[in-house]
Amino acid sequence: MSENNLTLAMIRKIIDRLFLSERLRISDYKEDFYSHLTSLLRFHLTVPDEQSHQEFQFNKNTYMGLEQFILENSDMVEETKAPDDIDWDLADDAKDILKDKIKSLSEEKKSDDLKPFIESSANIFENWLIYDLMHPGSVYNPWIPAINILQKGYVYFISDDKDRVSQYQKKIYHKTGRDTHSNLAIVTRGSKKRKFSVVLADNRHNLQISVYQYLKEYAPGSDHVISLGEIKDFLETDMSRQTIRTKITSPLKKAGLIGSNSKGFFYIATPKDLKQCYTAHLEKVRRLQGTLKIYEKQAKVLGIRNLGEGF
Amino acid sequence: MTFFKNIELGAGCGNFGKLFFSPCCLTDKNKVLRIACHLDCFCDAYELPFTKNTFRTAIICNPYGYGFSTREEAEILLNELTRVLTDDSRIIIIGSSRNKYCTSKRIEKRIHQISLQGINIRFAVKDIDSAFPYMDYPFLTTDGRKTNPNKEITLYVRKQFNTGYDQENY
Repeated sequence: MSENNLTLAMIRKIIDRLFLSERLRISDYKEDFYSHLTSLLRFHLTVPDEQSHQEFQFNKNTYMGLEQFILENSDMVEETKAPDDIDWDLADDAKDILKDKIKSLSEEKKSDDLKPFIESSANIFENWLIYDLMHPGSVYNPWIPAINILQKGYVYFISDDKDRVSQYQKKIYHKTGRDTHSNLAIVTRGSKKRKFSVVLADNRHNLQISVYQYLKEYAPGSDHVISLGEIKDFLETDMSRQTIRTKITSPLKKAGLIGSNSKGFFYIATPKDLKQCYTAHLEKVRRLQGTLKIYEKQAKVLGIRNLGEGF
Repeated sequence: MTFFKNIELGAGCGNFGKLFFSPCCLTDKNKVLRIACHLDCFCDAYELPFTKNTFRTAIICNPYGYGFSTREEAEILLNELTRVLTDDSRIIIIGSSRNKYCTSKRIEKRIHQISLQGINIRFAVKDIDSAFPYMDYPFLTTDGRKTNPNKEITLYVRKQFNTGYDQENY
């Protein structure tokens, strides 16, 4: 978002654009959910804490603990110190506006069914806002992907209460198998009454921690890379290389926690490593910008104005 | 339970109340803590299983997931606390100024927003140096990470048995 401090008018504009989706498609929000969890995990991995070396599993308790820890200690990863005074009145007003907006969009304005979704969505919006007020426009704000879910038309809550989650999708725990899944689930709904979708988080975040710590120890820097095959052997997993890439290494790269080159993956240990990662990504961005320019030229030929409007 | 003069809410595996406000009843909602922690009572802060006028002091250390985040939550919590507290009692809240459930500005605002029948509450806040553990006590987040609070908020509770109660007499 903006690098300027948010005002109520700006927040109102963001909320005004919210809608409730008519469809329920897991693919709309699943990646944002996982990305939100990885963004939280980033703090767990980068902030010095004796717990970082202990086994970590997302559940409601660790999720809320990380939430609290991040809001109270964000200065440990940010370049700037958060101001002493947070505008809590603004946060209160924003939550009220958001709640009213969701109620106005729903057919069930007075239904208790909607309440947990409204309360949780407002809570998550507030976390994003508090973080942005402390560190305007920060890319480390772990609630950016969480807000994306709202902006795609879904209100939701996150829970590890199996009985509660099962109320919304009865077979979710039978479908997925307990061993490979943590307890944390996201329950979403759009505009339709009594229509819900659930994603039960898999164990990718535990594996991300393992791989991050493995690389930190055995691949410190771009001169000591470890290949994807070696990561697969280390994990002793049946997952395909592509799945490992999608679920583990790519999210770690996106979070800026590890780097890679043509030979493999590494822990970013030196300025040289960081420069290598940066230039590799810059090259990708330049290639994409070239493709965008081609599309823009084609748009002119087809008489399309404002090709990227709405994004 | 009459043995206890004070109560700590959401104590988790901590013993702040026992160390500094003894005899203190340590409570928490999370029954999973039954195995590892020494809690005296498992209960919801919004629904305390105690009779009225039982405790002199209520202590809340670094609350998360309950507290003063919304007006509604604050009203339920304060109603319940003032019910179990005696006249001329205190609610002590120790936490971070960034904790949305107990930031001093929100607590002060909520006290003005809600009206508790027959109860007067006076608000006071004290800065704590967060560079050091407060009272040498290791404060933890809900999942056990170390965190240092920077505010101590005290709510002085007086129950108006008679009309004409003079707030200046605190």
